Amino acid sequence: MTTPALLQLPDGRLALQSESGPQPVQLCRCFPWSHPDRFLSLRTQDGKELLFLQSPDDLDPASSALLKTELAQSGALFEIESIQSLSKEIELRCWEVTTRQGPRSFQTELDEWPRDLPDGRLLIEDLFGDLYVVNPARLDPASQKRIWPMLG
Amino acid sequence: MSLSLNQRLIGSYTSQPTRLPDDLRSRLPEIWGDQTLNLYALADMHADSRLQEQWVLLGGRDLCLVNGDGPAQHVCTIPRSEIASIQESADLSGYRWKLLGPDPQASPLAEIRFSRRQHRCMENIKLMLEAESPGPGSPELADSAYADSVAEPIRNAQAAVRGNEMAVIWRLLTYLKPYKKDLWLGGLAAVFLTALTLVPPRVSGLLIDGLENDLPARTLWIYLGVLGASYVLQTFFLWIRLSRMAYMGERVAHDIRTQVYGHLQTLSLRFFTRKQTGSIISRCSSDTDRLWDFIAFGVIEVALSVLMLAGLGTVLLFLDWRLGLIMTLPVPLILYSFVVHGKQMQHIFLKAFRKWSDLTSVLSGTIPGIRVVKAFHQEKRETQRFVSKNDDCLESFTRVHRVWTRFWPGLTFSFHAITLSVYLFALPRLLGTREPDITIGTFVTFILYAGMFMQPLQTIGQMTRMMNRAVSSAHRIFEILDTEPHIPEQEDQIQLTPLQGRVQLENVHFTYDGVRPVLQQIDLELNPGEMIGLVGPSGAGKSTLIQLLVRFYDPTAGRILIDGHDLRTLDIGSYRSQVGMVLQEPYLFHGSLRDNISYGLEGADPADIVEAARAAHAHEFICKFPQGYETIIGERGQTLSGGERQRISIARAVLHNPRILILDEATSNVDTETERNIQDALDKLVQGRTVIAIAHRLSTLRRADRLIVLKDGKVVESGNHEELLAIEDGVFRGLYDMQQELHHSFVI
Repeated sequence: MTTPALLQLPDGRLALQSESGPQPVQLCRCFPWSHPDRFLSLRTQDGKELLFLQSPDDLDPASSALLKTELAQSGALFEIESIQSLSKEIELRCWEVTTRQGPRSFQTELDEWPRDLPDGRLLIEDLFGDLYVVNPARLDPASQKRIWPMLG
Repeated sequence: MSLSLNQRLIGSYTSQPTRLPDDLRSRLPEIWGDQTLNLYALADMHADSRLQEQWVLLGGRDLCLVNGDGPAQHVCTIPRSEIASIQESADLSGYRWKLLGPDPQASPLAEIRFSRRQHRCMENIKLMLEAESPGPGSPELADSAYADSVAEPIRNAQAAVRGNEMAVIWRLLTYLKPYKKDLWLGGLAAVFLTALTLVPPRVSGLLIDGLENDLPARTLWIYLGVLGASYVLQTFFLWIRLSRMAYMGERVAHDIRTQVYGHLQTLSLRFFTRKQTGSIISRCSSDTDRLWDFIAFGVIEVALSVLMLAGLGTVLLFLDWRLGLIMTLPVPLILYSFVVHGKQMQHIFLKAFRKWSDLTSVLSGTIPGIRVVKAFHQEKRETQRFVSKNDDCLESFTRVHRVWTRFWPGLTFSFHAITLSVYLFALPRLLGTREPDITIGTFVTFILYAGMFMQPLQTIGQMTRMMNRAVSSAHRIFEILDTEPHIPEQEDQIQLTPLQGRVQLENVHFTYDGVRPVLQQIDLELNPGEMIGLVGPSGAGKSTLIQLLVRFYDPTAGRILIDGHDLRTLDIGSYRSQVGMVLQEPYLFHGSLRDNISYGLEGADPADIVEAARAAHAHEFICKFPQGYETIIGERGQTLSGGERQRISIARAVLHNPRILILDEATSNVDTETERNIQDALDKLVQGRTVIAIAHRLSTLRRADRLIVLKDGKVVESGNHEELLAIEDGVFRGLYDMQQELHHSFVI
């Protein structure tokens, strides 16, 4: 059995080399929080799994490098660096934050609490489904004080 | 939903532009000539995932990318005809688009990245590109589509009437109008009561001075009489105040509940799909209860506390200005301590609520799933998990109690310290070598007044919390009252009784969000007594079509005619009373089987109810219950099996004797044996009526005169069973083959 190989199509898409030619694939992380870079499923546009990998290192170096680039691009999250305010409004909790990507304001529902991630960070999902991670231990004291009630 | 409301929400909450910036708009002619701006969206993420402001503009001919950070900067213009497809990748938080041209060997025409916040708006553009449709057709509609897409999740999460707090309070107070008399009586009683509470300390002081100065016994008896009378009057005014205000608050809450529930019944399904059931229920129950509390006691308590504080301060300063200052000067400091304490409590309470939420989620997760817990022998693990969360809760609430149990004794001590200071300043003046400039009676009066200082301060300290809760509840209630019914009723409606049952759909289009078409160009005609089956894959628009037929929604374009009359001109109540529905998930109300079968037909003849149940194959199982038709079924009919519930709903439809009958997956959730029973019941039910039936199991539609096949919102095939099977590569043929295959696999 030949080792599966990945390549990048001219239009930029990731593809899996198969007997019938390159097939564009989409990357699915099976454990995005506990093992973000392992246990990966490569699937067609309509969701059929073509390849399952325990690690990108199971591929040849070139394919592995391509996959790691895709992992980095698709795993981008808003990373909160400081919290300017955390206030309550009718039915909403409003966050004013600075993220690594830039300043951002977002809202969560009042009874939605951040989720504890295995690495000690918190994951917050806003009303739109955008995801924010924050490491409370790395925040400045004022931000830490603001987020303290949210810690599980 | 109004454009201004959506724009306000975007402006208040998202810190992204509420519309395409004007300078960019003015540059459009030089960028793409005379094209109309049909749609636009914000691609808010750079390729390296930094936040940015890049606008994606869709015109009739071109799609254009323009950077809006700083002065508008044109990035690229792509003719729509060159875009062969859009490759979308969903990342953990956001999306990436690759606009691909016709040549698979060429690089993408453009790459766009955006957060989930922009997804709906970008989807609109994708949809227009894929459908090769120009889009809404004007910059105003483009503004509206953008604002609606971005604001929708916020609008759905928050009461839409969010606004000025005082305006909400005033609006709330308008509900007191019908009870002016009670308000006056209760208000005046409260004022008198407050004034009267100031009497006993003063009279007590006079009594003591009288005793010291050997005043005549008659005078002392008069003082005592005044004291007694003030107590009696206080009791009387307290009774008036409490009873008037409690009755009034209860009546206002009753009026609001009635108004809210009545208005809820007029709202379209759109409202109910947008809001969670629990949230709607709590608006009618706990929110109105909070308003009762606020109206009955909150408003008056706070007003009286301010009055009392002002009265006490004046009296104290009047009695002895030096001692008065000792008492009154710390008041602002005390009020400030309430504010600080309130904020601190809010902070730690939030933490406690978070822990409490963790605890209750363990409960709500394990109790309904207790069979699984036991089957996997996880009792110990679940107990440990609960104990751990419970310990966390204990810790958090201990912190809460630690703070308030320190604050209040500390505050009480402050009052004692102030009182002690009064003693320290007063005693030398009473016992000193100089002639005392204060009598013992005045001093006692002073001390008694001082003791009354704490309560109004406490009430004022809690005012903010009380106001916030009331305003929040009022917002949630007014949101319902301010929501307009989406199905407008015309004047001079036609009452068609009885219906013949002729149904015509003429070029019907429908979209839920104004952009994505769910139904397109539907032309259909049903003769009275005809049965048609609606067939098609999931998402084809079958259920939407049915929702239009019962007028839960109106078509976006085209019209539906019933017996030749536009459905919009018919009296909705009279029309719906002649339409019967049997749904996939029959809804039964808490109550007796009889009440459920005769729902909407008060005073139905018991013989007719039995006959209907017999027709629905329900009579047999009903008679097995000791209380027969008067058996109370639990909430949503929990005590019945799925098939039994379905047969009750069929009996309900039989009893109503509808002219038009709608069957929406009536047998999809039951086993084969039950399906056979239900099918028999349905066969009797459909006779002599116009029937529209949806079924995934094509066998259920064997009695249909015609089958209409829907796909992607359009009618793609129609005909009888054999005609449709004869279409090679037809949608119906595909569905049929798939079911046959499944059936065979199942048999094997």
